[in-house]
Amino acid sequence: MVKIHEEILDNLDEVVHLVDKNMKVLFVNKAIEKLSRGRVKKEEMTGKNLYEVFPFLKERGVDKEYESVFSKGKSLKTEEWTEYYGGKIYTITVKIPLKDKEGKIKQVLTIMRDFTETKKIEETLREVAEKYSAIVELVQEGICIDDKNEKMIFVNDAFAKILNYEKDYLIGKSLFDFVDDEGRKILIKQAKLRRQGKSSRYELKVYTKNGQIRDLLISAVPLLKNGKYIVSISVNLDITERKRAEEKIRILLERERKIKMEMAHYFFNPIAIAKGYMYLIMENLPRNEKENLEKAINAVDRIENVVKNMVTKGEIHE
Amino acid sequence: MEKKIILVVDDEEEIHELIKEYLARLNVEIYSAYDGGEAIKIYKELWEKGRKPDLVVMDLNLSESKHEKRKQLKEEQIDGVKTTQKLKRIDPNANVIGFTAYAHLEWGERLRKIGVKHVFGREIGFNGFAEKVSELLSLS
Repeated sequence: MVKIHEEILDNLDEVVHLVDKNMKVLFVNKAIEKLSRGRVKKEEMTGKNLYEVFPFLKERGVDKEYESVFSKGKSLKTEEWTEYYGGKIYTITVKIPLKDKEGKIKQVLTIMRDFTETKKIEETLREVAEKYSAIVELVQEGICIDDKNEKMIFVNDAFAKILNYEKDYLIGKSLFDFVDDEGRKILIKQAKLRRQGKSSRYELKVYTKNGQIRDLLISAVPLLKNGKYIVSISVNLDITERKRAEEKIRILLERERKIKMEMAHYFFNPIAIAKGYMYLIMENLPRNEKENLEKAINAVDRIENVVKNMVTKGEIHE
Repeated sequence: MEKKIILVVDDEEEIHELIKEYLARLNVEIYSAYDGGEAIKIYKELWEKGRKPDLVVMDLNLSESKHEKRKQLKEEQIDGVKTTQKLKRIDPNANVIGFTAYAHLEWGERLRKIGVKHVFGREIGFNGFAEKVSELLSLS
């Protein structure tokens, strides 16, 4: 390995190592020392068989994974945890086959990211939520904790009830799995906000197990550690019934508005026209006939008042 | 004194007839439009001739005109609010008042919101309306 490349690799947070078909470690960067909590030195590992350094890898079936990458020539991404010297280490690993000039796979490059810290915070939160489950389960609002990949790591009964699924089924799922395209757009926008460390309140339509649509009012807050986004906690209020009631009120108000408009149009105009002509006729009438017409106009005035009270106050009186 | 020019915009024939009857005693010349498109056309024509209307009397619902002129014009059907907005774009100083069955409803309020100061309900009657016009044009 060229010196300068080695220096760059040694400065990475991710573990990078290269093995040949016999699982001999051809190169490993310094990050292995941090991942192994100082128990494995870079220099000690180089040149040795991978399973000799980490015997437990075989038990976990990692040998089969390498065999698959060597034989199929396809990269493999896995997420795993390892009991390592009494502590759990969570890693995301990518194994990449490297071909020689003739196209034969001679080596596999492995990149491992340690996300133990994030996982620990997630687990602590889940433990806290479970510890206080009596309270969490008491509230009527759905409570949900999502990891940084929007996967649910904790939900309470109320949340599971909204979606009509078992709690266990929802763990590992994402809200993205329960929305349509419009909802997806909203969630993408919200996920962005969370990553920026911003809280927000928004409405979302979700599909339940039996295909019903429920309206949620979601208040979500991100949890950050050292400026890095770890999880988001949300309180989800099912506002479906409220929305339906609001929609009913809106329809009723619209109907009332239309009725008032039509009443105004169909009553005020003909009444005004009738009175207009009556007054014109009155000008040329003898006194006794004038009095009769005035009585007729008074009667029309009374109708007009009733209509005006109906239209403006919703009351029926003169 | 030169006659004041009034443009009445209403879809009902009888309203036009009655307005003409009741305003006959005033020194005014009345033009009739049966829908928004026709109103704008007449307003522009009068203005070009140097006879810009002194007052535009606007109804709100202009949808039910059965007048032959309207059928011939085939103009886009627009209500009193939109017609007033178009008129104000052409002439920001256009003097528009409302005379409508909807004066006390949201529609009447919309007319006020776009700057029409006087919106009279039909219940004031044609005598009452003639008095208001006389006051507004300082004819009394």
